[in-house]
Parts: sequence; structure tokens; C-alpha cells
Amino acid sequence: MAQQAITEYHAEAQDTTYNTSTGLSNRKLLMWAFLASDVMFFGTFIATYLVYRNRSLVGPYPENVLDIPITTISTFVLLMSSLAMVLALHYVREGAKGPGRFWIAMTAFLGLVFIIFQVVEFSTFVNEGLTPRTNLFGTTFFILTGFHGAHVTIGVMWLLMLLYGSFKGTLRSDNSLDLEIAGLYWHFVDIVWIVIFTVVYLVTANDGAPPGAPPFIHGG
Amino acid sequence: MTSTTMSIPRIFDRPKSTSGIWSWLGTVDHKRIGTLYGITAFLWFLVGGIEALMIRAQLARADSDLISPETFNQLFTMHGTTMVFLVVMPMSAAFFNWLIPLQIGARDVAFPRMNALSFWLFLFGGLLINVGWFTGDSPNGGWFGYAPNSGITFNSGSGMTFWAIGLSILGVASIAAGLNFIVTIFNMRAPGMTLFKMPVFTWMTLITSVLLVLAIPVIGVALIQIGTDRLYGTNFYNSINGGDPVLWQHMFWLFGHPEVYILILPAMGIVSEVLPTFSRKPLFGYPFIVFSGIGIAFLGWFVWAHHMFTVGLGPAATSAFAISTMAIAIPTGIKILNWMATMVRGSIKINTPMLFSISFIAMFTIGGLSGVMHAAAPSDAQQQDTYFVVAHFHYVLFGGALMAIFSGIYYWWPKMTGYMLNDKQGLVVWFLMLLGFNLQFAPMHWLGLDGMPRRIFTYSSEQGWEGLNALASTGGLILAIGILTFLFNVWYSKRNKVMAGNDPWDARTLEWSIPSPPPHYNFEQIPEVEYRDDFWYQKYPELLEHEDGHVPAPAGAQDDDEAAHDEHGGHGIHLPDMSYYPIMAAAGVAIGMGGLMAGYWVIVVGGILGMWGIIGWSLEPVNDPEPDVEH
Amino acid sequence: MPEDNQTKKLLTHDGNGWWDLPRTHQEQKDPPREGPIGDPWFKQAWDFVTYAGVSHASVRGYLFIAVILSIFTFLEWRLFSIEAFGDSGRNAIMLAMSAVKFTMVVAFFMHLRFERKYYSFIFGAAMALGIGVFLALLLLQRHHGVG
Repeated sequence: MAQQAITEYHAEAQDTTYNTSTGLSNRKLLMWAFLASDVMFFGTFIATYLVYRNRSLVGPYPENVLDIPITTISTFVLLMSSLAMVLALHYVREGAKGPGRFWIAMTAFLGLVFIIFQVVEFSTFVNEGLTPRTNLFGTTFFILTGFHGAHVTIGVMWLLMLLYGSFKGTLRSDNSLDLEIAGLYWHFVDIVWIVIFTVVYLVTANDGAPPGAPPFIHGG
Repeated sequence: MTSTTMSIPRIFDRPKSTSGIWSWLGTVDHKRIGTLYGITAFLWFLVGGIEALMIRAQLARADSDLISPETFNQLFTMHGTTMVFLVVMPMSAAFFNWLIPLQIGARDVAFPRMNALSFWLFLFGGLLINVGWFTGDSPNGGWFGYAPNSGITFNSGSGMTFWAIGLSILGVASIAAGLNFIVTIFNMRAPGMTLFKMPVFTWMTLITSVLLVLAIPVIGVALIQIGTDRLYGTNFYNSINGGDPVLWQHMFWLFGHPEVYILILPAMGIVSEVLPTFSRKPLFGYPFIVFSGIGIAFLGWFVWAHHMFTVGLGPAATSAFAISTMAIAIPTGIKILNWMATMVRGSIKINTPMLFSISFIAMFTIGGLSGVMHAAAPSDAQQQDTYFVVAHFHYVLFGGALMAIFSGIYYWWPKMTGYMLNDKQGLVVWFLMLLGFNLQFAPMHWLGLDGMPRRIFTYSSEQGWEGLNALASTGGLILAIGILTFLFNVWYSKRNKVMAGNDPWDARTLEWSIPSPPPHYNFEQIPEVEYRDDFWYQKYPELLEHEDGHVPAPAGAQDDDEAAHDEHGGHGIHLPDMSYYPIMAAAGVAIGMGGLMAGYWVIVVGGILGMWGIIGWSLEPVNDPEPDVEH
Repeated sequence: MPEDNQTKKLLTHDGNGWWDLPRTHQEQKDPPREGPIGDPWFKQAWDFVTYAGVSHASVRGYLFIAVILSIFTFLEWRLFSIEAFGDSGRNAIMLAMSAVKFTMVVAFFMHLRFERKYYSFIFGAAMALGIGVFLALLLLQRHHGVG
């Protein structure tokens, strides 16, 4: 059984090699190299956030505004959008048009829900007195999560274009690579959020006023 | 691909013309894009050179008031920014574009339209940085833009904002180019060309591209941070609200040190091509040169804080960075020894490209040695912010990178244009540049050790720096005459053409096996590569001492089988069609980003243009459907 | 090719050493699917989860991964609201769970587990470099900051 699986696997894999020096697809290699670049991009933002941890001079501090239960739900939504993405790819590859479209649309929809969560979160924070100008926490938090949100937005637009393509007939099982590459991007945005959720929310959400800084009083 | 059968609504016809301005605006040909890079970078080289001459004119005498201190700040900022981002990097990109497909036996890069996008982004980004010369408010915070001096509190003009915006656009261009060349070099090599049969210039391009892709995002984020600080009042580097100036230094040099190797590694690649050709010997220690390049690129990530020894990082950190910095001298030294060993017992032919390459080795070694002096932290504390540092990095960047670039220009000019550059005049250019360069920058070593600080707009005559400064300014003038002689050389050689033929230098790599200038499809038949320097061994099979005694087929001979299922004489070759969308997307990005300074309606215009470009691009097939009828 | 020749190949540099990428794509097969531990029992379970015969997991496998991701996210939320392990202990557990989730998505959803090793190398190298460089930065700033 296992041996047969391996044989079939190779038979299948032979079909997906490309006529390049390495046998890798140009576009997939491009996407992975781009993701390597994006690792450094988000790495720099996250490093900035951590360098400035506990260095705000005035409130609100993370413990005053961050809402873990809500963010857990939005994290869950983004994770499920990744599931929808791999299912979409699976069905598009198999040539199942209906389920393929459904799961692409579902991915985009879940991404949109995540963005709505973020918009609501941002406006709540602004109402509570935290803007990018308030303190270092506000600056680093909004710019980091904002750029992540921008990545999600671009991903949603990309998915909608692919959905359009699946109706126009440009996205089929024989060029599912289009969707696979969008999927790589989408999952990358997801893993960036996994890191942000841990670092920005779970690990630092209990941070209060650093030594010497005044405590934050709501409406004060 | 069948996807091209669907009809796509178009506003424009796809560009088809092969001459005139429209053919350049819509081009996706790597050779044309390389030419565009080269010409643009050379124009900016002249601009940066004029800025340098104005600085030297001001400093030639003590207590000079030729230029106001404000203008002086703008001049040295723009000189540094221009020379690093708008001259040396794009000059290297010009060589990448021209040579990589030719050296690896490909017909174009992997993503031709993205290649065009890189160039147009570079052009528009560079223009945005230079906007200040027209608004009278140029960037003035130094090419390193140290915060909080570059922040809105101390620097309220528009110059540094344009600097941040323009540089971010250049960064996007560099990342796109880097990604493109990584994929091209990995995936588009001719059959048989394994990684360790690639020419060294291709290797150095690969390493540089990897550095670009990984290092540029760091400066991109730093520029976003300083940009939002300036535009929207965030607090990244706003010290009143706790922002940390040292973080900017970390961010800048985390990018800045790999950037140094982004500037020098392509130069090392050029020299590694020129020296073996004119020594008529294979490059000595090929794997050592390649692995040294990789080693330099890797170590280059862990030395950044040597730019910050005087910040006070603590003895542990300072020692660690001093040691890692000194360690970089080892792979660099290996390369220098290998280049020299390449020349030992070679039949050396002295001409302009060779002389520039030899000068590269000498000047770069001097610059490298003063670099090791900086690596010693106590010594660096004395030299920090003095003219000694200026001398050091001009020896590696002018004496190093630009000498090699000129060597490359003289070496590959016949391949790019079809005619030779006059060698006698070339010798004059080389002599004037080497003389002027040394007269200008050697005195700065003494000035620096004597304590003359960088970035001061004048000095008092009591300090005794006048003689050496006058000497340096004279050197600058000679250097400028050298550059003018080069322009004359180009004009003269164009007027009195001496045609080059395919292989004027009796060279080693694949680009010399095709006509000069290359046809738009480069290779009629994709070559099969068996050895490193395959073209050389095709010309001289008797030189090949290979264990199995196999002698390669002479050049031009092809198996009939091979030829049968290859394309027919270049006519059936599929090349990507031209496209307007790259320039449209680039213009949209530049207008949108520039609009951050101008108003929301400009952002909207740029956004619409950019989205139009990107969506049109993604709906446009790489190739239009071929007409069914063949001639 | 025999292992003991590698040093010789490196030194004689005929261009066919371990660094070689294959000349044509036929020469290098995709990696065979195998369990991460090699244990036969585990391998069977692994096949059950991931087998789809193509270069990605099965629907069953994807659902399984998604359930794991959900459980971990749920656990993270629960762990946040209890105070049993102390701050540093809790943070360590959080980071470990995050790493597991990260690896799951990269290995299965992004198919790295089933792909040629080049992609893993590219992504892994960037991750290693990023983590190394930014940890060094945090260490430097820890001893410097004003706060």
C-alpha cells in the first residue's frame, strides 16, 4: 500500500515538473523567493514591535485595549480561510468546477470577515484613545497589523480575480498553478498572523505601564 | 497555451514597432532594458559627479563661502544617495540585464515584463528623489538619513519625505529585479550548465540578487517608519514620545552592510571575467572565488554594528562585531589572491579593460586594508566621522566598484554595440581616472587622521588642512576630465566605427559565441554546455585535459537530430511580446506614492493608473496568438 | 554517487559535486513520502492522513490539520486566561504552540512536505537568517534602550 502510494506519487509528480534547468516552475520559484523577501519585511516590523515593547511613555497600554477572545475568533477565521484555500486548490485540480468556485469564494469571504474584524478592532482602539500617534505601542501595533491587513486585502482581490477567471474559463485544472501560487501567498499571510497573534496578542497582551510611566485611566 | 484563445478587451493596441520612442517604452527585451539602465545610470553619474565637484570646489580653500551650509548638506546627501542607489546599483543592473541571459544561454530573463517594471520603477523613483532640485528643498539628512535628524521635528522640509518615498520605490524595483534574476539563473540555464559551470559574473549576480531580496525589505520597513513619522506623526523615531534613534541606525545598517556587498560583488564578477580573458588562463581557484562570494554575502549580515561602534553598544557586542568584521577580510583576501594568481604566468594582454581591472585589484586592496583598520573598534573610535572614512569607502566604491564597471564597459561595449571603443583613448581615460582618483582620495587619509570631520561645509585656515584639500580638489578636476575624455572616446568610436565581430577578445563565455550586437533572440539554437568556459574549449579543444579524453564537438557543429527539433533559424522563436503595462503600473506607483506629498486626488489618479496597469498586465497573455499562416 | 568522493569532488571541482542541480529534470525524483520518524506504526497513521497520491495532502488530511490548528488556537486562548505556569513558562508554551501551527501550515497547506527540497531550502534559509539577525538586534537593544 505504501509502496504503491509512492509509485503513484512519482507518476503524478512527473507530470508537474517543468522544462527548466531545475524542473521547478518559474512562477512558483518566484513566489517562494518573494515569500523569503516578505519574511524579512514582517521580521523587521515584528522586531520593531518587540524592541519598543514596554517603552510607551503614556497609555493606553496593551492590557488596556487588547481583546484576546475576539482576536482568537478572527485568528480562527483566518486559519479556516487557509483550509478553504487548500480545498479550493484540491477541487480545481480535480476539475470539479462547482466546489472549486465555492471554496475560492469561501476563502475570499473569510478573508473579508477577518478584515472586518480588524476594522472594528482598529476603530474600537481609536475610541478608547489609542491611535498611531498616541505612543510607541500604538505606532508599532497599528503599522504592523495594518500592513498585515493590507496583505490580506491584496490576497482577497487576487482571489476575486481568480474567481472571475474560473467563470471566464482561464482557471482550469490544467493551470491550477495560478491558484496554487495565490494559495502560497494566502497561507504565508496566515502564518504571519500566527506569529503576530502569538507575539503581539498572547505574549504581550498583559503588558501594563512600564516603570516610570503613568497608569492609563479610561476616559481620563 | 490555450488560454490565449480567449479575447481580451483592450484599450490600446499592443506595441509592435521596433524603432522609435514607443519601442523603448513598451520594450521587454533584456538587452534594451539593460541599455536603458546603463544610459540612465550614466546620466545620474554625471549629476552625482557635478555634485561632488561642487563639494570639492567649496572645500578647496579654507573659510570658503562659495556654497551655503544648507546647500552643502543637500549636496553631500544627494551625492551619496545618487552614487549608491542611482549609479552603482543600476550600472550593475545594466550588466545583469545585458549579460545574464547571454552568459547562461537563454533568450530572455524569466519574467520580461517584470524586468521592464523594475527599470521604470527605478527611473521614476530616482526622479522623485531628485524633485528637490526643482522645489529648492533637496534631501539634506545624509544618505543614511539618521533619525531624529531626518525626522519632521528637526527637518521640516519636503526633501527627506521625497527621499523616503523615492527610495522605497527604488527598493521595490530592486526586489523585483533580484527575484527575476534568481529565477532566471536557477531555471533558465542552457542544458548542461550546472551551477558550477556558470561564469563567475553569473554567480556574483545570483549572490547579489539574494542579498537584494533579503536586505531591501529591511530598509523598506525603515523608510516606511520614517515616512509615516514624517507624514502622519507616528512615533517610531520621535524621541519626545520615546522613539529610539539607535533603532534607526540598526535598521539602516542592517540593510546598509549587505548593501555594501550588493555594490561590490557585481564588480568582483566583472573583474573575474576580464582577468582570465586577457591573461589567457582559466580563472584560478574558481570554487574558492565562488564560495568566498557566498561567504562574504553570509558574513555581511552579521557585521552591521561596526558602523555603530561609537554609539556605545557595550564591550561584548563591540568585540563580537569587530571579530566578525575582520573575518570578512578572509574571503575578500582569498579573492584578491586568486585574481592575482590568475595573472601569474599568463600571457597578459594590456589594454583598457585589463588596466581598469588591475586598478580595481590595487585600489580595492587599499580600501580593504583601511576597512580592516576600522574593524578594530578602538581605532575606529578615532576615525569615526572623519575624512579617513570618506577615503576608505571611496577607495572601495570608486576605486573598486566604478573601476570594475568601467572595465566592464570597455570589455562588453563591442558585444553590446558591435564596434570597439578606441583603445588608445581608453588608455588616456584610464590614466586620468586613476591619477585623478588617487590625487583626490589619498590625501583624505591624512586629513582624516589629522582630525578633519566629514560633512563640514568649511574649515578654518589655522587647522592646516588647506594644502591637502586643494590637492584633493585638483584630483577631482582631473577625474572629471577623465570622464569627459570617456565621453569623447564614445563619440569618437561611434563616428569612426571599428567593427568588432563576434569575439574580439578571444574570450571564454557564451555571450561571445553569438553576433555583436546580438540578434533579438540571442541564440539561434540554445547551446549545450559541457565544461566551464565551454566556448573557450570549443575554440581550443586541445587545451582540454579531461580524464575521459573526450573532445567536444567544434563550435557550430550540431547533431542533425538536435537541429531537427530545435527552432528553425530564429524565425520560429517565441519571444515575449512588448507591453505597455509595466510602465503604466510603474507610473501609477510613482504618482500614487508621490501623491502622498501632493494631495489625495493625485493618490487616486496614481492608484487608478497602477491598478489599470496591474490588472491589464495579469489579463494580458505573454504572447499574442500566433497567426496560423507561416511564410 | 558514493559519499566518500565528496571531499575529492569539492577539491577537484569538476562541477558535479553535491551542490549540483540536476542537468535535466528526469535526473532528480521528488522525495519519497515517508513519516517524520520512520516508525512503521506512525508511518501507517501518516499515510492515512496524508495519502492522496499527488503532491499535496488529501481532503481528509487537510481537515485533520485544520482540526489540529483549531485545537491549538483554542488551547492558546484557554492558556491565556489561566495563570498556572508563570509568565515566562506560559510564553514559552505559547511560542511552542505557535511554532507547531506555523510548521503545520507551511508543511501541509503550503505543500513544502511534498515538494522538492529547493523550496524548503529557500524558505528555511530566509527564516533562519531573519530569526538570527532579529534576535541579535533584540539582544543589542535589550542592553541599550532607554526604558
